[in-house]
Amino acid sequence: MGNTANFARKACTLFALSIGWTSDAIAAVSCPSPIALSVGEIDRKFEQRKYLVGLTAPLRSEGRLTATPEAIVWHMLEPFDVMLTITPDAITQSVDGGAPKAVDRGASALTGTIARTLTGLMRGQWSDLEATFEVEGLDAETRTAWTIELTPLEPRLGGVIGRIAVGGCREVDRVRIEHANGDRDEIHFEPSQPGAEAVE
Amino acid sequence: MKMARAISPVLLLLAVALAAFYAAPRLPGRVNTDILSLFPADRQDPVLADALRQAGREASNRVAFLIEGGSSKARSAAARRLEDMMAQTGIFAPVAEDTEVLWHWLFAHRATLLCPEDRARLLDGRGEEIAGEALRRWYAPLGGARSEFLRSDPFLLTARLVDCLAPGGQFALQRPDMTLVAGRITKSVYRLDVQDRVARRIAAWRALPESQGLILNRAGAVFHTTYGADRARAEMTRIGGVTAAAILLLYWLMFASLRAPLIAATMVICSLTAGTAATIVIFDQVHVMALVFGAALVGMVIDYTTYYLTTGFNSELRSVAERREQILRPLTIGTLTSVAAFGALLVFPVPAFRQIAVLGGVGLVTAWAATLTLTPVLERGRLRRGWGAGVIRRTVGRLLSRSASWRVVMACLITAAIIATFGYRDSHVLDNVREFQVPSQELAAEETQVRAALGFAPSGAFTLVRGLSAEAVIEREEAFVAALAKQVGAENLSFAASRVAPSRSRKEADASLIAGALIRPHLAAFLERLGAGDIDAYDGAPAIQAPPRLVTALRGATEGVHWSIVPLSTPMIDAALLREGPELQIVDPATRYSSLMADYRRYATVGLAIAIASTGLFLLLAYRQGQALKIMLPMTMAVILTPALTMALGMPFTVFSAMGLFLVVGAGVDYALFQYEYPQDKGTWTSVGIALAAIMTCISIGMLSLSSVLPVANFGVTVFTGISLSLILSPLARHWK
Repeated sequence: MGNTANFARKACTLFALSIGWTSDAIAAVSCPSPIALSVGEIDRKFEQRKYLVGLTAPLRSEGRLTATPEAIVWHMLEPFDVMLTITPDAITQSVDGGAPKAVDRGASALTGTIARTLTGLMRGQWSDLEATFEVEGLDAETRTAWTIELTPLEPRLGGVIGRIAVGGCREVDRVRIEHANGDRDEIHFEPSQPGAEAVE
Repeated sequence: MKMARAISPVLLLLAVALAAFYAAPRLPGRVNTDILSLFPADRQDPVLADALRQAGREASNRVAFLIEGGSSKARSAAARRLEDMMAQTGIFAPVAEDTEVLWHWLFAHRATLLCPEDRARLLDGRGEEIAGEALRRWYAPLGGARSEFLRSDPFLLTARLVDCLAPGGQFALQRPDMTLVAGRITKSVYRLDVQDRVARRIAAWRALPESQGLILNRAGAVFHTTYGADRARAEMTRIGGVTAAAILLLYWLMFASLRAPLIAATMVICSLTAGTAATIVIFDQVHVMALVFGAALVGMVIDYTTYYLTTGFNSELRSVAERREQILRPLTIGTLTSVAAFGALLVFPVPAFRQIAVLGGVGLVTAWAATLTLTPVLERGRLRRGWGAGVIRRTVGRLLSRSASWRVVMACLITAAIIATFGYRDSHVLDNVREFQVPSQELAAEETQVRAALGFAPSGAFTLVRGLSAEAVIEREEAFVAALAKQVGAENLSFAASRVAPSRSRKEADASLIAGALIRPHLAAFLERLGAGDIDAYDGAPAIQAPPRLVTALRGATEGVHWSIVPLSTPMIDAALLREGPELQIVDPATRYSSLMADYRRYATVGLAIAIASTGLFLLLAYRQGQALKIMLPMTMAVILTPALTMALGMPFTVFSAMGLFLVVGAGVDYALFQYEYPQDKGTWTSVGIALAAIMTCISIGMLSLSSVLPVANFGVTVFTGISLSLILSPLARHWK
């Protein structure tokens, strides 16, 4: 009995390993290196969950991110309609489809910096991001779904943005921002085209 | 006379050594290069003077570096290194430091401060709009809301205040292809040691491997002052080198010995050391113009030495005592008249004028003492007559030894009157400070680049608000800023301290409005919707803390009058001018300083008249005969003719020309004194001494005419012309035939 049980356990383990190997092999084909990630224009739906210390449930919002060479637009649609537009000349915000209002100074200017950073992540502009962050994971040899970690080089920025983890396969599908105070933001992006999902 | 003999050369050297010991370590940190700090901004209006100084200090201390080229990673790494290296100077505060302090201040006062737009909303009973915006911000991606604010600031009022009240533009770079490092220098950028520290770090940064291929654009007064100081130093080195070589050659030709120039150099070192030490003791600093004047002092000090050394050519004078006796009276009277002329500068409440008076006065007295006591010791037997001495005696000496006839005197006076008439008819006066220093083209281009990238172009002008109490000033400023906002639009307003640290009445009104129209009616529902937060988040008085630098730098009190400065952006100036009144003054510092330059040029001209009059009085007292006033004639004519001639030649008359004329009064009278004292044949060697002294002065000061810095060139040309005229006209002081 004991031997049968041992055999069954070993067989299960081998099976599980073989499945793991197979999925890795599939992933190696499916996921190109993050360095190869190069997205010109972006049009992705997103869902953000903001986990705040002291709040039992996360603050959930969703919307659409679009980016062209001329502008980056973070458009939150639920629970509120707020559109943040960043162009080389200005950062504006419009609420409920109203007139855009300039928000290019003070605290809002920082929002612009973060928005640019995240859009840079989405486009795979790693070398540009290396200006502000220490980027780890770019040289990962595995061809599975990858995770890139970004740590701000500037301590002051680190106090605001914290550590960023970016995951994806053919494109970025999740961003997780951990703040020094224990808060965290998780943003999930829907695939821009069928079949582009990460294989994990 | 007895005093001169009583001074021991050893005692003199000891005193000079003590002065050197005191001045040498202090001098590098106490040289002030700010041309405008020459003047006490406005003596009739000390409030305006203080405000101008403070505004100038604030504006001049800002620096910004814009890094272009390379990859963003390379730029960013280079920027971090630059900020680190600037921090290592110990005199650099990055802009983030000020921003952080401001943030803490706004957080502490979040329940008592309002953005103008929010005040209008709350007054209209639209508090729910602010609550709604806060809720959107909590949910928004990248909204920046943090859990701490649930307990302390759920409406995110601090972020709203930062958005609307913080100074905008200056340091908000929106160009992803550039990297900015900005901050302020915490010490005066006009100090040479500060300039050197900054320049050394930038040079070290440029030499780094990671900086290669990157372009650094600089903006800030410190770079202009460094450029000016470097140029002045290079010029001084060049001019000083040529001067030293010329003097060395002339002395060698005259005395066929290198000992003569060494003696002269010793005299110069003694007098400059004593003069500089006295200036530092009294004023705690030395202005660069006083040092430029120091170069002029070299000429006068060499004159004294030359007078003594040329007595050695006169075989009738057998001993040192006889030789000393020969020059003692004219040298002593000459020193006293020169000191009196410089003393006239003390009458003016202009720090740099007073520094020149002290440096010149103490320097000349030291030179006088050193010439009479130290020179004979160092000479060790009279010096040989060189080839040049014979040439000068046969040419210039013979010309200067001739007594003028009445006809010649009259002809000189008529010619002088004609030249003066023509020269002054098209007088060219310059008081505009903008034209005094030509900025570096390279720096100007870099600054344009920085300003374009930041979208920030300060006008330099400001509104000065006055009142009898700090509270009254703030209230007045609030009313002024509100009225201006209506006219030019809030977006065109620059920073005003009252927006961040308002009057007590405004603060109380805003606190009551925030509590009554926002917190009480909306906070509970807001927290319920958010799902967390502290209902007492806005309770309690704000923590007391000192206002941020941004506020204190714009406020002050002078002689019981409180004041504040509101910087004006270019679109604000015209609107602000309409509101000018007794309590609100629009000030353009450049225009103001130009008008002060004009005032001080006039004061200096009056001072010259006083110096000439006091010299005449002194001569009358010394000689007790009206004839002695003839000594005044060459110098007075030189002082009148010099501006006429220089203006006719295209050199404008400035306050610095007037300062140069003081030197003409001091040195010019010496030549005439020797002519008056030795009108007989034996005076031929005296004439050689006079000629040689004048040539030395013309070389040492005249070389300054070649400077590219207008004030220095102005000074040099004036002294050169004045001294030359004093020499040429000096025979008029002899007996008229």
